[in-house]
Amino acid sequence: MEAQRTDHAAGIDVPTLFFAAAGIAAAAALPFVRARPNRIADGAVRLLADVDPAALVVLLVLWGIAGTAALVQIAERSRARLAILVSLAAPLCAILAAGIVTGSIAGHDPIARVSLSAGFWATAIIGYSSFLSASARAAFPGGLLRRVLGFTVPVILGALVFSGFLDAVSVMREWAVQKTVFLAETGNHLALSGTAVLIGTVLGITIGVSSVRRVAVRRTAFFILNIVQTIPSLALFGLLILPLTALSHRFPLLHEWGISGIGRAPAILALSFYAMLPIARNTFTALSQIPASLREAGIGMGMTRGQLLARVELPLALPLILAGVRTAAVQSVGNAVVAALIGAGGLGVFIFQGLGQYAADMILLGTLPVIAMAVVTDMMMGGLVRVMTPRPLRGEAA
Amino acid sequence: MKRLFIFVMISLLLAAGGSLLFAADSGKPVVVGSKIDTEGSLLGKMIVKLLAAKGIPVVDKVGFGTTDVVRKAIVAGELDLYPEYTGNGGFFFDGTDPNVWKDEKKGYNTVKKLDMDKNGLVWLTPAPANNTWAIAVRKDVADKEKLVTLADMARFANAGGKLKLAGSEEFITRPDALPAFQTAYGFTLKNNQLLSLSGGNTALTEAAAARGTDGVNFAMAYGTDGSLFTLGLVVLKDTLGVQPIYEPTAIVRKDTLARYPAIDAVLKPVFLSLDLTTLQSLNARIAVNGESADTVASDYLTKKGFLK
Repeated sequence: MEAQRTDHAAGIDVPTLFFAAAGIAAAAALPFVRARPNRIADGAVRLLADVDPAALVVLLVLWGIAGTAALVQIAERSRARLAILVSLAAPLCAILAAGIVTGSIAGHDPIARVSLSAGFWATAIIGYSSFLSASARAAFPGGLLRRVLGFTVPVILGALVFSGFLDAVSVMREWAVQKTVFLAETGNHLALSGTAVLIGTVLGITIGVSSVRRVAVRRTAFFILNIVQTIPSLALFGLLILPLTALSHRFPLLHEWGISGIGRAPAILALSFYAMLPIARNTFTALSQIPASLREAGIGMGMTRGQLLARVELPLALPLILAGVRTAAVQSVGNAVVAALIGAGGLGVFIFQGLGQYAADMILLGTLPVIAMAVVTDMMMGGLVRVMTPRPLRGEAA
Repeated sequence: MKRLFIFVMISLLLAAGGSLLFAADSGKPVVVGSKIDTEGSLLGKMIVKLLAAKGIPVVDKVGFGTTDVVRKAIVAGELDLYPEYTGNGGFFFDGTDPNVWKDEKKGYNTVKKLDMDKNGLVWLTPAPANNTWAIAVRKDVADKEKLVTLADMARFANAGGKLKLAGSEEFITRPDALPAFQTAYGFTLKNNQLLSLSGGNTALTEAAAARGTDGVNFAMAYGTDGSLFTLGLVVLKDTLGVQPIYEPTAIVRKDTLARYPAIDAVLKPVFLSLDLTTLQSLNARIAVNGESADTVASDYLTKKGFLK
């Protein structure tokens, strides 16, 4: 990467050229929307050229500029900055076109559905990839501008969604119908995965710490956790139903607390089990890697075992432990989808009802927020790992 | 071992804590659930609205889970009430005479008695609509070949007509599904006349027939599916009564009904009003038009004067 940061271009900018060609192909040749007379009919796909020729021209010009700049000899930095602008402008143009096109086709007919097709999604993905590739080369000071720019498209998208500009897009029609349920289930989903990660973290760290001290604990705990990890989530929920039902019948108090074979208890328990493995494994690895000399120094200073753990071992192990929590959190957000099948709610409700009705938009209504949650969780945990890493170690960890 | 036990107990306690973060039940409301499908949501929402309007405290758990899950939940007392289908008694109670479920009255009476004796569950008044397994055909094919009943389909198949049926793996292999139709009406579909979608539901098979995917023109369907009309499909009549009758019925725990006896009288007229075409059109508003089950339920109840 350092080698590319020269003042003058060494030749053709292959990545940008590739993205520009792909962008032109996506805009011109892939169907932009699919118009259906109702929610389940097949409908017909339309090219951007047919529904919004002006937007097509804008997209072709944008990618054309980036492509031309990739071919001619100009400063590498200006070339990358130009590519960044195009990478952001192209998806934005596609989003604007989406709002205009869907509005004009389905604006007056509440039953008609216009969904965004391959051409739209490809433009978005190509723009995003091109942005990442170009911004890695643009060398912005401190990467701050890069981060700010990276948020412009999501922020504008959010603004357009809330302004009602995209209301005629089929997913937004599902949202309009399901609004209250959607908010409740999103909260449910967050609570399910959040609780599971919390439990998984507490128990995972406990297992990791005791595994370092006792071989027997290590063998048993990791044996069980590894097996659990291979059980598909729905099967694990199913396996928990019987013992939990039996327990809650045997001890009415548990039942009063809301622990029963079906609903949130088995879902949270299963998700916690999944969350434990990455956290326990990372805790164990991190603690085993601490140089013996550091421990000896601590002991030499008269630290007790607990002090050694709290003041020396855990702080050093923290970044790796948090990386385990990061994995567990992203995984929980995804796994919690299946909880909808055992009465625990969550965004899976829309995915499974959508599958049952063959309604792709409803499936999307459940899937998009799960993806968003996973990405945001990953970013937040990534930031936390960076902050928690002692400054001298940051270079390699971040 | 001791450690393992402590570990398990700690997990349970934490899970309990987690569960407590959610709805803490106060008093003894009626927990209304439903299956996670279109008709389940529709009926569930109707029940929730009707009970609430009568002043009965309700907890809305509509869209709770699969048949297996709602069933376990009501037996365990985690749900108090949900809509089930009479013909499913054949699955819940092994060893019953399969012919019982093909008779509307006998099937209802049998499941009502068995479920009361074994699980303390009361089956209320069923809706006069049969949501059974059926075979649907493209309307253009039906019109051209004059197909109205399954006997017509048998004639068409035996005369070498161009026919391809989409069905779930279960529908194609289970003795009481397609094989039963074939035996009763005297036709046999070859492997190349079948499109088997393992784990497939009627939404998929109907879409396959409507779109003519892979040459499919016949599809596994349910009697009350709302999308049939829109997709240009018609259901072939089962004149010989091969299939069990599946009438939607609210089932409620005995103790819950004793606490709120009004439930029976509140739901009865509404369920009696839900005949086949009514349910089809209401299901269609959800599946085809994309309206929410909540809206469709209150709309219907208000229009019919069940709710003010």
